[in-house]
This record gives sequence, structure tokens and C-alpha cells, in this order.
Amino acid sequence: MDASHPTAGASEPTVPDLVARAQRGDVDAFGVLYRQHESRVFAICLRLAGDRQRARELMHDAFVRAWERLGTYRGDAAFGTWLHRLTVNVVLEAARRDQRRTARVELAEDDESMVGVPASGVSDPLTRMALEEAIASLPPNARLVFVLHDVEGFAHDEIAAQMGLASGTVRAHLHRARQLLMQRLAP
Amino acid sequence: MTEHLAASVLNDLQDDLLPRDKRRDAEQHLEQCESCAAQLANLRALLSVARSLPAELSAPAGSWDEVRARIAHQQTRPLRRRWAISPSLAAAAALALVVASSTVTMLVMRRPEPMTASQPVLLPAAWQASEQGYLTTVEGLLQQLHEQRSQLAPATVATVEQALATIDEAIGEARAALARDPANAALTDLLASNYRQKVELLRRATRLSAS
Repeated sequence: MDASHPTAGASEPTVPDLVARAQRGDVDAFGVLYRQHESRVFAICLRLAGDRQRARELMHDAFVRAWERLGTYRGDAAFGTWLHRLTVNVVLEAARRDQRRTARVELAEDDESMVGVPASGVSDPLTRMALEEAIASLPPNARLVFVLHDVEGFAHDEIAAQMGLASGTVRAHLHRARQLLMQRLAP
Repeated sequence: MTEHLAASVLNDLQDDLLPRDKRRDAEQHLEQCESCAAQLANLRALLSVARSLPAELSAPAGSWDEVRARIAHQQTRPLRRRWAISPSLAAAAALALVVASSTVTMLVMRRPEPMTASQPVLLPAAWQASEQGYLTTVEGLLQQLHEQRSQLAPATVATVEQALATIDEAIGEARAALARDPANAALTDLLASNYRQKVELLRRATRLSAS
């Protein structure tokens, strides 16, 4: 197999087969898994990071971490589920490092007002591309919480545990993110 | 008409987090208040689009090569053994680390020379793929910094260039030493560490330049 272009090959091995081979050190098998999941992993990284170059780095980090941790994967969940959660962890760890580094201060309390949000609705001008751009422009914690909750479907408590925040703080970030998005997407 | 519902109430109503009595009160209010009903409709429209975003997005081309190189390096990394680093090499590495760590506010004004493996040394085959991965990453980051150079302060330039030069010198020494002693695991680790320092420095600079 061409090492630079992982392909599934004619026999189309199953995911458990590929995982088992990768766990034994078969990089080509891991390459096939990479190919199957790179778009999903990149989407997670891009939305959480809000920056394409950073997302590329994080995707690489996530797959390298997955390779390192393959031995811990026991098949209890689907490989994709395991990989996507590992990816979220990699991004959140990086976000914590970045925030410590830049000492970024972010509003944590909820804003009880939705003043400024036109009542005409956000659905008319709302396109997916516009929403992607608006998500990328959110403050880091608001972006992380919004993507995890409203795009990826994580529960409040799960997000709180993963981010090391109180559940109320997670809700505050979520509410703020939604408010900012509605403001930015309003006509 | 009671006063309008707070944003937190609307959000909690949407997320089904309100206690039953508060939920009933909110729903009664919404039946009479067009403004609050419109706010809730806005929120639901937003969430509807959020949930419809594509689960997959096209990843940048060539990413697997870099991941594979990093994996290959890990696979071929033997157990560390005792090895004495020359004082000059250790000093260069230490300085590189210090400078790299202390220049996060710095960006490059003038584009440094592209990083190449042009020095006349022959590295072990197992390392060549790993090095190519680092070189590809470094080249991309250098290009990005070059494009953003108009945003950079002169003082920044000097410091980052000094850091890059120091790291490059350490890389050169480690490459030459590894070419002379290809089986030396500590040299492999040192060379990889030098490349990682360079990548990390460039990543920090590019992130700051974009902020």
C-alpha cells in the first residue's frame, strides 16, 4: 500500500479489523482509519478552535494521541465515538493551555437581556456558512460550549466535567454564545 | 402583562431545564407576549440551523503525511540511553528553549530562510520521513508569518529571528551528530525536540499574529 495515500483496498476490511491491526502497530491500517474519520475530526477541531490552521494542528494532535492510546480502546463504544471524544479532549486541553498562556479573561456571568436581538427572526438570513463564521468569531469558552452542546449534542453536565467548569458556568457560556450568535446573524 | 422573560429563562425553557411550575408560568407568558415568543422563535431557528451543520468538513490535503511522520518517529524511537551532550549543543538547546518560551509576543518581520535539509549529512532512513513532516509544517508556518509581517514590530523581529537562528543551529549540530552516529537514540530525540521547539515557536507566533 502507498503509505502516503491510505486506502481501504479491495477487500474493505472492517473497522474492528483495522483497529486490531493498528493496535499491533500497523500504520497503514491506522491510515485507513484516518482516511475514514479525518473529515469528521477536522470538523470538530475547526468548529471548536475557530481557526483553520489551528484546527489542522489539533487534528494532527488528535490522531497522534489516538495512535498512542489505541491500546486503551476496548471496543466498548464505536471507534468513531471513541475517536471523536478523544478529539474533543485534545481540543479542550489545548484551549486550557492557550487560555493560561494568554491570560484571556472572559465574561462568565449570564447576560439576562436579549436586548438588541431583532424580533424578526434569525432564520431568514441564516445560512450555514454565516453561522460557521459567526461561531468562529465567538469568545473561546462560549464557542466551545455552544459547539459541544448545540452542534455536537453533549449534555451540560458532560461539558462541565470535560471543561472543569461548574454547570451553571457552562449554561452562562451557552446562553451568551446563543445571544451573540443571534445578534450577529440578525438582519 | 408581567415583565418580559429573562434570556436565561428562555434558554432553560428551550433546553427543558425549568422546573414544572416555572415552565408553566413561562408558557403562559409566551401565549400573551409576542416579543418573548419571537425571541424564543429566534432561538429555535438558530438551534435548528446549528443542528443541521454538516458533521464532516474537508480536511486539508497532505495531513496524513504529517501524522504518519509523527507516528513513525514514535515507533522508531528506541529506549533512551546515556549520552553526553556537548556543552555548546546543550547551551544552544537551552537558549533556544528559553528564547522560544519568552517570545510569545513576538512575530517575524522578515521572512527567514526556508528550512531545508540541505546540510551535507546523510540521516538514517527512518528519520528522513519524520524530518520531512517537520519541514513541511515549518515551511507552512514560515509562509504564514511572512504574509503577516506588516503587523510586526522591529523588536519582535530581532528576538524571534534570534530564537529561530539558535534553534536552527542546534538542529544543524544534532543532524550532523546523528549522521555520524545513526543508532544514537538520544541524538534522535534531541533532533526531534529541536524541531518541535521550532514548530511550537512558529505556531505561537502565527497565533499571536492572527489575534
